[in-house]
Amino acid sequence: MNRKKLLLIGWDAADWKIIGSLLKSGHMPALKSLIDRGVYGNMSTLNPPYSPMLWSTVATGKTPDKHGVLGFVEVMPDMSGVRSVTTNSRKSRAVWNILHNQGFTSNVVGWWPSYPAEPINGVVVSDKFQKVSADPKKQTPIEPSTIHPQNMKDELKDLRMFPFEITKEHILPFFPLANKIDQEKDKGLKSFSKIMASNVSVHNAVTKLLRTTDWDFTAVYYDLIDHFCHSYMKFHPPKLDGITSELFEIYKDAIYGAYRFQDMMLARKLELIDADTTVIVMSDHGFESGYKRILNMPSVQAAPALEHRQFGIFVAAGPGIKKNEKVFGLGLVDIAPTILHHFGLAIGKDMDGKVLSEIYKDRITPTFVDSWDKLKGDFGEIEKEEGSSVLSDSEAMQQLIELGYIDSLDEDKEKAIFKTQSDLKHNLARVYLGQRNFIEAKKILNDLMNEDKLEEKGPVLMDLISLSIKSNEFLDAKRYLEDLKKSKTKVRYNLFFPESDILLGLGQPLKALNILESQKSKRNSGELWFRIGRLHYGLRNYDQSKEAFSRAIEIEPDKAQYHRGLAETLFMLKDYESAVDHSLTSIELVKNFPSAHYILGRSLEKLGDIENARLAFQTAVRIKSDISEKAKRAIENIEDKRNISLKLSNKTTNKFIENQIVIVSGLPRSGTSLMMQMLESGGLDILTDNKREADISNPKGYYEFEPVMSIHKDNSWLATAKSKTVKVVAPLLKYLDPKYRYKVIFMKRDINEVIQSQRKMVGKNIDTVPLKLFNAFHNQLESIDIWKDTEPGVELIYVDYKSLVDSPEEAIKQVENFVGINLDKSQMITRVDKSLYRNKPQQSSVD
Amino acid sequence: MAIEKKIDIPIESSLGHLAYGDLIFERWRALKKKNNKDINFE
Repeated sequence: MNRKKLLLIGWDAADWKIIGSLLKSGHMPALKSLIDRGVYGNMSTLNPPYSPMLWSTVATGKTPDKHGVLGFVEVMPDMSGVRSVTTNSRKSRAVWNILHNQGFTSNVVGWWPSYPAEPINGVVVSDKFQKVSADPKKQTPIEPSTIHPQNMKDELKDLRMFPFEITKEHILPFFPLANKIDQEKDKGLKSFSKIMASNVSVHNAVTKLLRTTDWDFTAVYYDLIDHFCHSYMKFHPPKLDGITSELFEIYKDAIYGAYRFQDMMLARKLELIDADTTVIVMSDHGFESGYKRILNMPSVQAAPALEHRQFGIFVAAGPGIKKNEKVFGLGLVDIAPTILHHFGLAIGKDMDGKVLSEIYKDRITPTFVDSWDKLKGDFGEIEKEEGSSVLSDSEAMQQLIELGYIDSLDEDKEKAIFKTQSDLKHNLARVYLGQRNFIEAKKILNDLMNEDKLEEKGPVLMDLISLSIKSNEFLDAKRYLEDLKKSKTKVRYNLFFPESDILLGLGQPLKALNILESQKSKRNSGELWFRIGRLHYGLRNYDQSKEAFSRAIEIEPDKAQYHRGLAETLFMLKDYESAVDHSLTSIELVKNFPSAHYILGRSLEKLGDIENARLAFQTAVRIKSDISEKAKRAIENIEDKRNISLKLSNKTTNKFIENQIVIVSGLPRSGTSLMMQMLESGGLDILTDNKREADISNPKGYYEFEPVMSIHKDNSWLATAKSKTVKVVAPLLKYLDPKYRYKVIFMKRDINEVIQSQRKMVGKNIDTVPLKLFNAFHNQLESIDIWKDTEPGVELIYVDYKSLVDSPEEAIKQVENFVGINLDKSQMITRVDKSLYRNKPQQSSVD
Repeated sequence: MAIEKKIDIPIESSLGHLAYGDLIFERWRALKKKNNKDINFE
């Protein structure tokens, strides 16, 4: 029988930015050979990007809230202390457990976490194997449960390399100027020795198993690149200002060296497998190698992870896999389902990932099972510990401390346990935050805030600020920001981004812009220019937003959202060809970027390329996102344009649409209530709760519906508005769900009259018109005019209030045509009460 | 360890034995043991 073998190789933190130049110069020939006969792409990470969490997601196909590995450390079950994270923390079955249950044989080497080794068919060399003492005088025995089966211990024990075995010949290829290192003060070579020895141990074990065992699946994990990056990326070219020339010269080649050595180890593994073995090489996240490198790490938990980049790498080659093709939309959660599919096994419906169907030449049909975790049987698992004190993992803990992932543990055990528990809770909140599960995240963050024993609350407050901004609770965000400023946090945060987000959310875009503009001279950041561009775009300063997005692209040309921002700006500037160019660049960088496909579709539509516009909209629909509904409406519009003759500028089809929602809108006091009364008399079904009673200002009632007022927080009630008519004031129109079709009757009235009417209603002098208010209303009307053109699900007519009162027949006919429903026109006319038109134009002064 | 002077060594030649994995490592270790009798490798 031809076995479908699969070799999964994990390179922690490997990043295309570094690999790209090494591939070009021919220095990663093994990876190049795989790419040439396989697929490659970006691997999207999860938040927070902490490696044990991420590699557990790779192994289980589940997000960390489900698999339970939430950090670098865990509290021992008997509460006797804290240790580096173990298999005990994982609540979900890994692919090798499932493969065991289904009769396959696996080798697992160095996976993080994999200690204690699980009793599966095959061999597990857990991540404890390679962690040894750097001191030649210290014994570092292989502890029980490090290797399964136990009898493999004898075969593997001599394959561990020790840091003190590293020689000059190993060091000099990385650091030709190593003679200039003062080894008393500079621990650079000490770190090097530990990292190299540990990774050589892993490599020795896996090469031995590849050579000598019978296997279906082998998974091996190397931390070489990640650990090199944490130690030496700050010295990588281009030289950072804070690095001395001497140190730069000594360490500048380290990163390239690590990738090249990693590639040499890959070459050896490829020699040891059959030609028809499927190979996957991947990383869990990337690593900053440009100006975002951090020289002074803040003292927060897992601070080094701040340098992890959102995209890692993915390369796969083997029978049935496409050749030399870039693939898109890959996530860590997708690896386990893809491995199961490779072996012809069902995917757990409770897994968060999908089979990476795009990598295969032929169409695939995955099968499913409800949950592998709920099935009974032998899955080759360890018995979870009830309590243990046999684990002594000082080497593993020491390594985490040296890398800066965890602080030195407090000698007071209780304190150490409390801190670990708090950090893990905080990490879980961050996982929820990454999933946009704000309710669960907020619960945990609030619990942490209420914890008196938690001394450093800065990171919790920062997440509360971020959460509040993402859930549009800007007043809460402001409060948390003030709390943070008052707190005694030891961490220095850059607060200008959240501050500007909050100001924007509170309707103060100019102040938000000022905050960002004040940073321009202090930092050369693509993110800063991007945000400035977004604000200018929102303010309709398209020339400025064009400049800002262009600056952002100059600094970071590979950010898809910067190109998307510029494309949107160019569209508004009617430079449709350039808008197409930048949308395409954006899509080239991130294929599954729905808003880039959407703006591409709109630009192509303007250029008259309807067929390709439709394709772009269809792609935007296919990738689930906020924009999909808009894209669906845009496709419907294209269909309509083909079926009936219509000028797009009309924004009306004058035809009835099933489930359409009729919206009456306008500035307050512009005749919206009158229109609602008329439509009700005409026979339309009105959505109102009559909670706001009639008064002298609106003697016939306001026709309001209370949930409209909080539409910015919850617009789910719009489902009940289908085929009905509801009043929504102008500033709230932008919160309409693009899922539905809207017919908006927008009441227009002279702004002076609107203001006079409003001032009269609240008992103010009507002879003066505040200039600010006048300008604000003017802007609102302008933005509605743009909004109607940018929302494919929206049709809109303007009904002039004065004309409606003066000659209602004509206006009613226009409305009837627009909604596409026969209305009782005679009843509608009876509702027009000329006495309502009492705030007729008067000579006003503008103050 | 003492490193006296700048030396340029290509990674491919100097680290080939480590990248090769278990087979050569065991031979390299055997040679090393001869020269480092004090080191206890368990």
